[in-house]
Amino acid sequence: MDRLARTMRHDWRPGPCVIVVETGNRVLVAGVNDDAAEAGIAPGMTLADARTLEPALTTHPSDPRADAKFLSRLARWCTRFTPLIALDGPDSLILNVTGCARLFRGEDNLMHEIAERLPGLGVHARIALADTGGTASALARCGENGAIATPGRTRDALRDLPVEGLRLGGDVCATLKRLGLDRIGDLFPLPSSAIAKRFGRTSYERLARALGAAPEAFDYLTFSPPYVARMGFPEPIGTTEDVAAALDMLTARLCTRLAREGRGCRRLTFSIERVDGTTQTIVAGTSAPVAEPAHLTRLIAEHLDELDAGFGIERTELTMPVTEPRAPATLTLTDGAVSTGLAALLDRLGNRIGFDHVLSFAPADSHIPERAVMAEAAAHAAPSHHVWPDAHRPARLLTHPEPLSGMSETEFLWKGVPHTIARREGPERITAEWWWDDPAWRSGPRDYWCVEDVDGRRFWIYRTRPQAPGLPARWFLHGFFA
Amino acid sequence: MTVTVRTDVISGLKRELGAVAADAPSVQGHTAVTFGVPEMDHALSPEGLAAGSLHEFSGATATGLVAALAGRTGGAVLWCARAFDPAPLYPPGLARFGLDMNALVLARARHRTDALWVAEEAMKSGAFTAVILEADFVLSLTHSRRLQLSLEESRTLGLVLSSPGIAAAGAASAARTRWRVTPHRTPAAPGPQACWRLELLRSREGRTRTWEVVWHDTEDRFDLLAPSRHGPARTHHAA
Repeated sequence: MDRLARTMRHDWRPGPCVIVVETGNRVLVAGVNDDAAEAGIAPGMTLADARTLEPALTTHPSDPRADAKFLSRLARWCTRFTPLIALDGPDSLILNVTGCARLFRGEDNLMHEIAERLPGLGVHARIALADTGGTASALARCGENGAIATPGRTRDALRDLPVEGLRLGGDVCATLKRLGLDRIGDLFPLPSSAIAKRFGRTSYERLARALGAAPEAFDYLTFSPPYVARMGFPEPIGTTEDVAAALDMLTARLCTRLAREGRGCRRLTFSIERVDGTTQTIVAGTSAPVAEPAHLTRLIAEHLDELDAGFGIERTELTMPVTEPRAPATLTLTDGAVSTGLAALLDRLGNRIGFDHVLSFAPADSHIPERAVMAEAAAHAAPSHHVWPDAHRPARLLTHPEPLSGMSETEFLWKGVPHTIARREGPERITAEWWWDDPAWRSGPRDYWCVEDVDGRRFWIYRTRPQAPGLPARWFLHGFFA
Repeated sequence: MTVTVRTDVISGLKRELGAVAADAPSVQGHTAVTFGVPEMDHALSPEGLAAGSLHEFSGATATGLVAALAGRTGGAVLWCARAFDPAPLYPPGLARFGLDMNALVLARARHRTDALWVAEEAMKSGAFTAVILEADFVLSLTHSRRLQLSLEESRTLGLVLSSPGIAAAGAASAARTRWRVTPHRTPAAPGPQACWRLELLRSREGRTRTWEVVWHDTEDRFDLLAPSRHGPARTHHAA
């Protein structure tokens, strides 16, 4: 059985740089880059020591969660070499390449390929290949980089490695070293019961597994394949109809899978690759998980005209980067066609003018006119049965009240145009909510009047308290009835 | 777990519901949205504003009128307005015109192209019983024809609310009826919410007519203004 282990360390920026971790009241160096290593800094030092060696040191706090995320992304990338990948501690991966090496024309070539591709990703890794995962891991950590253990000679490969290679933990390693057991080979002659008794069961098991004497169990990662469908063309295509036909096929393919897995698409990307190597992309979103091909196709098809085919399109690709579990459809007595039609339409409107511009309304619990109504994206709003309060309010409300001049019993000026007052109703006093500081309402309570001019136009105007004694009250126009 | 779907039972129930729903006043399956005022409805053919066609209202104060007409369809309504309108729709006030605010979707279009696209798609889809397009631009003959065609497929009521200055430009339009809406003095009695003077500028019947209409917001209905009431306007101070 061939196994391969790699340890990885993410390289950051040019210049000496370390990753630090706080333990207790000490700040320790957890990772170093090449420049820092050259200055003599090694993981495990205190930051103070490291700074003495290299004053121009940049530091980064360690972020185990980001590291784990990065590692799992790297693991996904590694699926090109083998489908069986397991995490090995927080910083390494074990790739089970049993049977895969021949696809790369031998283990040497496989190792070579991995070693060549990783720097391209900005990953500096140590890799090793051996019969067992434990041995590969030990070799990668403490052995020569890129080492391949001779098949069947695991014992020899391990013999000269330091005991740290078994990942036994600092105190166990220290105990072993104190007893003069520096190398893994030093443990070979010891009876297994003695190792288990003196250094813990884990130490014995690690050794036995590395030697192949005990079975190794790996928790292989599972990767659900991404929702991607591609189509290449032997002859470049150019017409919108052809692209639409390709889109139909791709959508149908992905939707079949979505339906089978009970998921729905929330975001989709359609891209075309032209003969000249450039790519163009259309992005669309939905407000709820959707698995209907017609609905999804339409969201993209609307923008097909925006694509420029140039000298022809060689490849098309449909991706669904965001999918969500879909609630099973409920059978309704009334035909669901109308409501799904509405949902589909709202999605299309939202994609064109923005979901925050397609609104539905709900009454809010406030008597301040501006705050008496809440708008929410219609696509996300549940069907509502709100009861709207019965207040005498205008049909249109000015976002910014406009000042009126020349207010008298019979006349007012709005935008310089005189309006003769025919009738008025009021006042209705509205006081600001003290728990809500709205700059527009700092002038105090307002008296609202409904004023009709001789032409029959009805205005909603208000008066604010004089700002200082002696000053006249100010009048504003706030809305229009009808 | 296997779920047996009794398709026969469900389709039977659907048929029954369909029969019941046919009695409900809805624009679907109906030919027109009526004003509920016999004098006006008789003057129009079919009785009222024809469903599946475009009707244009111009005037600065036609918001309530259009809302009331859309509300009479009894279904979901899409209102396509301008984004960043200095005087946007105010649902608490609009609700008084009999338009169900829970069934209203407001689409705010940033420019003309978007507004026309939204209106056209909404009219075509049939998901709404009425679609209102607020136009602060000249609706060309091509635009109105496109809207008219999309309405014909879905039998939706299409309403265009245009600014008064725009309509004065008098561009040709494919709208089935065109109206000029001007405000009118309300009678002194409390109760009526709004009065308009409606001029039917164009209809397929070729007759131009003028009505003075009042909306009773407590009863959710239109009525003609009593002829005795509209004498010379009296100045009245309520306070």
